[in-house]
Amino acid sequence: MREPPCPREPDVSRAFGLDPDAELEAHLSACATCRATRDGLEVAIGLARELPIDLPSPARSEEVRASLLAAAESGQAGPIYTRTAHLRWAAVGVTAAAAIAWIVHGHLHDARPRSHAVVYASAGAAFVMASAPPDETLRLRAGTVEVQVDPLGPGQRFRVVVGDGEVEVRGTAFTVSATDDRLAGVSVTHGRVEIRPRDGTPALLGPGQAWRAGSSVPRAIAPAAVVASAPPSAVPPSAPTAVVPPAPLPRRLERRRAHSFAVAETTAAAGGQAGPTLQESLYDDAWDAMRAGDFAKAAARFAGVVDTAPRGPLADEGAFWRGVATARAGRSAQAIELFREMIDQYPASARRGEAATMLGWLLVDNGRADEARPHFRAAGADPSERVRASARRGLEAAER
Amino acid sequence: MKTAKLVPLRRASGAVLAAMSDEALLAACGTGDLPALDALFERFHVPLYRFLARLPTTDDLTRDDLVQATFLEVRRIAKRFRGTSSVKTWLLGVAANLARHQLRGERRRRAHHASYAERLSAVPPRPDEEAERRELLARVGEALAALPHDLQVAFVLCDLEQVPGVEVARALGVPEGTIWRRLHVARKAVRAAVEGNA
Repeated sequence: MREPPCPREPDVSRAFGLDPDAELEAHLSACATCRATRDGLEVAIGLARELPIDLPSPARSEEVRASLLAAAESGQAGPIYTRTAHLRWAAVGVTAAAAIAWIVHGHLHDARPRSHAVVYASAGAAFVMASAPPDETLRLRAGTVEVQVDPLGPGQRFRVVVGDGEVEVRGTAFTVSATDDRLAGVSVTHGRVEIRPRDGTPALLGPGQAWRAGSSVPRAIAPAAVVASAPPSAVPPSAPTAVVPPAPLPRRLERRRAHSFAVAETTAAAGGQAGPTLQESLYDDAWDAMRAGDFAKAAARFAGVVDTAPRGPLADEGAFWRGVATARAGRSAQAIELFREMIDQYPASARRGEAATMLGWLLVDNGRADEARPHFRAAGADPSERVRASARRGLEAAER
Repeated sequence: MKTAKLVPLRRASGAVLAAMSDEALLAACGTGDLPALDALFERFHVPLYRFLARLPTTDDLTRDDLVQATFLEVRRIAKRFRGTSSVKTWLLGVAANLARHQLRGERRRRAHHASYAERLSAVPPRPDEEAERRELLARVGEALAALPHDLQVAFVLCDLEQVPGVEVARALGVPEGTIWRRLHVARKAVRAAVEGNA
């Protein structure tokens, strides 16, 4: 009786790794040729499993996670991580551009809720955009994030949550640091920030003020107000925070407990000034006018922001928003010149790319596509994917 | 499996998310729930990185991009998940498809291949007992890198990640026979490299 023929090599291959096939196993045990085939495959696969695998470090995974969530939250279609990977201060959650564009033209119109914040993360910062508007939460585990939050409307919140407390803002620019999931420090550029340490007394920081965990720095000249709000979990999203008039910090805050916080002036606070500067007041007024839809007034106020301190911390912001307000007021020719001026005057501004995009769109709408192209190209290098995407669309529009 | 009934609370807490099945988490993710996406990342980013790292045509930054793009795509198409494979395999299938597009350009693929081969061959041979094994590994790596993307994916998923072929076929949306054919060709090439017949 003839022995059954050897199975084809693909069949031997297919059998490998599956449940043992009695008939095939019997053949393999008797047929040296087929056994060699199977053994050869086994060796090859075994070696392939030994090939080195580069897995990311936990810190890198966290960065990708944060970038992913920021992209998802802002509705981005593609990754933004690698484009920012080599920047010391990498914009990872830039979505303010969408709001700006919505105000000006609606070119970036999208029905999904947009973040009100621009987040700049220091290298190694581990954070997650944990929830989307209207109750935005940035979960910070370690490192430092600088956050710029546009003025929020009723029912809108923006919080930075750390393991042992949270920081809530309403239209401001500030920096938060954490170490080992504990709040390490907060400093405020402008606006107001409320700090709610889990085991400490809440406090309100004004422009130029800073918190430091366990700091030995003396209390601020004009200390932060003590906030009499309920714990964070008890505050409904739309409930205004109850703030008592500014008062000295309780003495117990001066004790250097592990979870205590001390208030100190940042170097940005000119002359120990704790209240809003003239520039900040004008800026706030301008935003009030913007929210009220009085764009001409807003443009004038933003002009004041720039004129008051052309090299001040809010000057480039003021110049940018002046252009936006002017455009919204229907004066596109003037807005074009204002954006040009802003780009020239503040080449290092974080708003430069957005301004270039705005300028490009205004030029396109005015039939000046040739002039628009260089601005869109310039915005193509912006850290924000949203801005870059708008610039790409602008270039396409300029080509038509 | 009907996933529509598994949609959880719109804003599930950490404890709830941790207790959710993969399928429920995916369904929640499909509703736009960011915490669910975060939890999905937490659960699957390591296997995803490992899978992509085994594809020799990806480098660190490309992997980061692909991981992020995969989760964004998963979020977008979560409703298409039919439960015919595990969520993990389905997710790896999404990544494989994205990787194919990412590496579509032949020139790019060759560049990756060249850099990978260079990396492997850059290890100087040592006059000890490990030298031969290292050389073998280098040859296996080169053979794998030289394979077309689809063959690489079949080999990595079936033989290295040890996902059942039928599940791989479903996740990639190809007939099971196609997977077996690809796997056989890939195995043959790798074996030939090991045996010095490449």
